[in-house]
Amino acid sequence: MSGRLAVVTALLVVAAVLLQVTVLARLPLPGADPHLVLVLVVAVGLVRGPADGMLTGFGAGLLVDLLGVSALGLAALVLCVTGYVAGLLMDEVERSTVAPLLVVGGLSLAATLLYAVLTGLTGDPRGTVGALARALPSGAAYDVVLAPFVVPGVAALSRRIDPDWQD
Amino acid sequence: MNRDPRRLRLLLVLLVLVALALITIDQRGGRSPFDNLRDGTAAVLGPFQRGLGAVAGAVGNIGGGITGRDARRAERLRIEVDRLQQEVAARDAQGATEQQLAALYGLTGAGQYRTRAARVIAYGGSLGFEWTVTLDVGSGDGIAEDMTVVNGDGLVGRVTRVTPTTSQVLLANDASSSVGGRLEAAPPGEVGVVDGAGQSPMMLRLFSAQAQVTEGQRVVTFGSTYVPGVPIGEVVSVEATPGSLERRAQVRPFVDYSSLDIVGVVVELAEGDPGDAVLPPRPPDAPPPPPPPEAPPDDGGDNDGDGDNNDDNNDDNNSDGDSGDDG
Repeated sequence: MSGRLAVVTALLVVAAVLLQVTVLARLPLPGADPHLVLVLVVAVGLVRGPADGMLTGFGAGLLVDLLGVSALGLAALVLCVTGYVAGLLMDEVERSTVAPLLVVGGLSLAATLLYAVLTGLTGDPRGTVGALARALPSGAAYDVVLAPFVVPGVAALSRRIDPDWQD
Repeated sequence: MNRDPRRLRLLLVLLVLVALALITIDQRGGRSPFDNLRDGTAAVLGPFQRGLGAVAGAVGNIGGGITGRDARRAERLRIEVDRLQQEVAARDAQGATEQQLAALYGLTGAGQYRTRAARVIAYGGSLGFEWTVTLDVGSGDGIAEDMTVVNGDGLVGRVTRVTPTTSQVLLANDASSSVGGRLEAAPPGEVGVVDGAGQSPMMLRLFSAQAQVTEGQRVVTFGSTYVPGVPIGEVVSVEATPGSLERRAQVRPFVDYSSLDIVGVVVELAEGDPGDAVLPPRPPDAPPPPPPPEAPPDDGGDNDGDGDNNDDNNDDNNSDGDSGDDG
């Protein structure tokens, strides 16, 4: 991706992380919190392809790990793979309005599950089965709600900043 | 490059390997080489978290004010919408803050802890599952690692990372949190560890398999890493653990970790352990704490180790010269 696009994407990632832990986490929503960072990574993958998706996911994951308590690289790994998979589906969702939502929902479930499994494997005793059963579906539902805003937003922003970008 | 699947896969494998390497390095016990990077990132983003946290708090209070109580009144006042709605919300916000501060200072006064009041500006866990919060006070305000954090209801957690303007707190209900605790009683009750379990009740593990514990008993901090005497929670069910080396019980925490707002960081302690002084007095209809264990039958020997053959409880437990256990 072009330099300007990279900078703007980086800023979007930082903004998403900050918004998620401050504003979104405070909303009195039942179940889990929406994962704005995850939705952003999937959006970048869906709009700009696997390369941009996995790079954005990796960088966003590093930031999440640095600000949180998980091992450095854990969220980077999960979000990198998520961005890659989203990018692979770029062509399939091209002309559909529902397909991106399904992709976001499915990847949200998969990514949070993978994250929980990996944190369990590295000796971090989190995410009991009961907590997972509650958190995964509600988190994915909120992510699907965010998707119609984030995905077109990323698409519009990418077109404006890098109008010569071709797939 | 964007479309060549082989090069894409290569990049993916490369990134995955880098991530795995980072995880391995970070996970090696002791202080990770990346902790400075973590501190730096927290320091850089701290001011932004504080700003957004303040905005988020204001937005949250306005929302609560309208949908909570008087939707009809807000509807009628919609003509003068901006000014009146904001006035009501601002007063609610201030009232809520004052209430929390009063409860906080009530608790800290009872225990004689010196605390620095702080506000929660961010909740941890971008991908879920970790129970941490960020406060709007940091090393510049006298906060240091491992300080105990409390609120008006009881134990909130412990400071894990400090920047000049913010600090991160590991909440007591996080799965990786273990707090030394003891049961309320006079003489001082059984000692054990309280493990966090997210949104499920905490697990109290008493070190003695013969320990007496009943539902309704309350647990306070024991005083190793954490300040002693801070209320943690109430026993809600005791597990039958035959053959185990420890006694286990589920504890309902006093603090609601999902809706923390004003907290206090204990920066200085008074001398000594406040014992059970910080626990609020039992409400009149609550079950009384269990009576002390029945005295064994009088068999003429010295059963309670005090040098005579009477099986009464006339020991001076608090070194004040008489045999009463007053506080």
